[in-house]
Amino acid sequence: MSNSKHTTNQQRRQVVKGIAAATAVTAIMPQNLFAAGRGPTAVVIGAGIAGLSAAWDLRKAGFQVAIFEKEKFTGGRMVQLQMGSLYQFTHASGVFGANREMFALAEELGLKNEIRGDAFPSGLYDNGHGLYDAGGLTDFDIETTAKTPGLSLETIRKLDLLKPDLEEIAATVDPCLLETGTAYDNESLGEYFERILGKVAGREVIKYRIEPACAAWGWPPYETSKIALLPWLARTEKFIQPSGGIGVLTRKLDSLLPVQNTTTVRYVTPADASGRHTIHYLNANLERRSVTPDVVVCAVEGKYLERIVQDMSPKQAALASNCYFSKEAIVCWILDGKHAPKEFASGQYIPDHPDQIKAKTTYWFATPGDPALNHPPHVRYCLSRRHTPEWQQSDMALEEYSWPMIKALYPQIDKSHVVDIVDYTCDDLIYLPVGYVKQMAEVLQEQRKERRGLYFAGEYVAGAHTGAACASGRSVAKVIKKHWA
Amino acid sequence: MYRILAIIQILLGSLILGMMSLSVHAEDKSYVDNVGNNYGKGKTFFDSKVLPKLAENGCLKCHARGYLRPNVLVYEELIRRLAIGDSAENNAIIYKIANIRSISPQIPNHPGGQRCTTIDAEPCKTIRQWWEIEFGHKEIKKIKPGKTIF
Repeated sequence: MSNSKHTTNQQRRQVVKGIAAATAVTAIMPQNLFAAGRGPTAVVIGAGIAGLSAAWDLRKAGFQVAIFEKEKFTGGRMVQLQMGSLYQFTHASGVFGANREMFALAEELGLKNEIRGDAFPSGLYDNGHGLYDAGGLTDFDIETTAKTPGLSLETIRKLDLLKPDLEEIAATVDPCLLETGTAYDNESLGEYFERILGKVAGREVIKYRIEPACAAWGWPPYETSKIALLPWLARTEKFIQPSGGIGVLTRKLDSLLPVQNTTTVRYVTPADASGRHTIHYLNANLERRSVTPDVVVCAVEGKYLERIVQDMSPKQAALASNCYFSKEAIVCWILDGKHAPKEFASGQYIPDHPDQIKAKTTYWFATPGDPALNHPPHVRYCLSRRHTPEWQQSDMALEEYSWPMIKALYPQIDKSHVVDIVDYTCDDLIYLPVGYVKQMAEVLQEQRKERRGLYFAGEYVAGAHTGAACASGRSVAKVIKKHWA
Repeated sequence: MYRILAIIQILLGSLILGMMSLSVHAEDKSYVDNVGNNYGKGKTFFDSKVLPKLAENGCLKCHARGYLRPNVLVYEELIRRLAIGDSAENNAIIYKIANIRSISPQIPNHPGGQRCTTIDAEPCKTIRQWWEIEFGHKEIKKIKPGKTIF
């Protein structure tokens, strides 16, 4: 009996030990960083469309993928956020019709109709000579351009001289993967139009047609490579507002992929002897961690490269040091219901407009609001990129600096009607100065050569828009799959 | 009774072995190291030193309303910008507000303009001190690398 009692106690102790051991093992098991899969491990830094596209394709290929995103939200520039009472895109507002990779991905995810939509309303421009339809951001229709008020007859006659180049570029350059346009990265837009059309006509076209398109990106025409814009102008495909909202694709990918939000990458070390890089990061609890996966995909905004990636190759370092961003300054005054505008009103101007107030303004509008879009009545004002430095030096909040302009353009606005202010000033898109596309191509050629532990993806190695970022993510995933096959 | 206990023991043993084998499998791949937890070390410094300097230098005009990121009043938001980079001078906040590199002097890095004339001027000076507290090398050396689990 005593023997059996002893055995029982021993067994009880063993059971307790077993439970304790199981608990201890469970306690030291970390959060499962990598999604199910048996292939090489990959950490994608950045959950914008480039990172998500790369992660999606790598996961399909069997890679164990983790995605680190510093923000609480996923989607980068394709995100829509609730800002006060305004539900709003924060950067990208639409997609270009030539975004082949993005449309293919959307179709694969069952979002074919949601990513398509109507052409973005471009609105009428006022250049001081009259109102005109510039023909959309990205299609250079010569007949429409010829109707621009203020354009001289001599300039109109010369417009056809642009056709041969545009046709050649349309046939050979993919605007989503701008390295395909390396051969044309030899002069600025301004230099190009002046060379083909002559100085006077070239300057007129720049002022009335090219500057308004460049204003959407924040590019100065006499510094921006011609190949940044010409592949778009050469195509007739429109800029589209997705019917599901700009965030429809990234929201879907977020639901399917293991995105670790509020996970901030601090830096990525040089490759070790095995060719792998270690990522040092802060997790969601602000605890320091590091991870050494087989593959790192750096799909951050290009401005972070120099902060994050240690010991870049000379070509990568050259690209990173040439990566600059345009700035966008937009403010919305949310109005109380009693003072909602009765109807939509707006204005859009060229940077050289003779009226000083209009020259400082890219666009403004006043809207009664749309409950279906969660848009309250508001007045929106976008400061001209050319005048952004003046505001920056003013030491004033944007709404304060912009008030005299909006008051002049829309006198009905009154401070007593304003219930909230949403300022979404931000870094916008990369500049593509002359030579940048060549640098981009050199980095991509280098990383295609052989297997490595760190790959670059994003708009900074593709082009300055969401479709390019998506194409870049998918393109780098193809390279990685090939290297690890 | 004994049979039941024996079955439980076998089941638990299997569970533990299974988990250990998973752990070993993961350990072979050596994915994650815990290199320390410094959470909250600089919070007091942030509240007492950094925030007043940000206020004095106009940062709150745009970054304290809750819509424009980051909200500089929130430690957890700002430390994530401070964390990006590997030194007191090379981090996302200093890069932004000191205008260390910009396409031209007239177009500052920071959409709201240059806030420090040099990295020795305020608020950059205090932000660099904050970085040292949060991530400085002396602090890191005190932290022993964690066991490789994954």
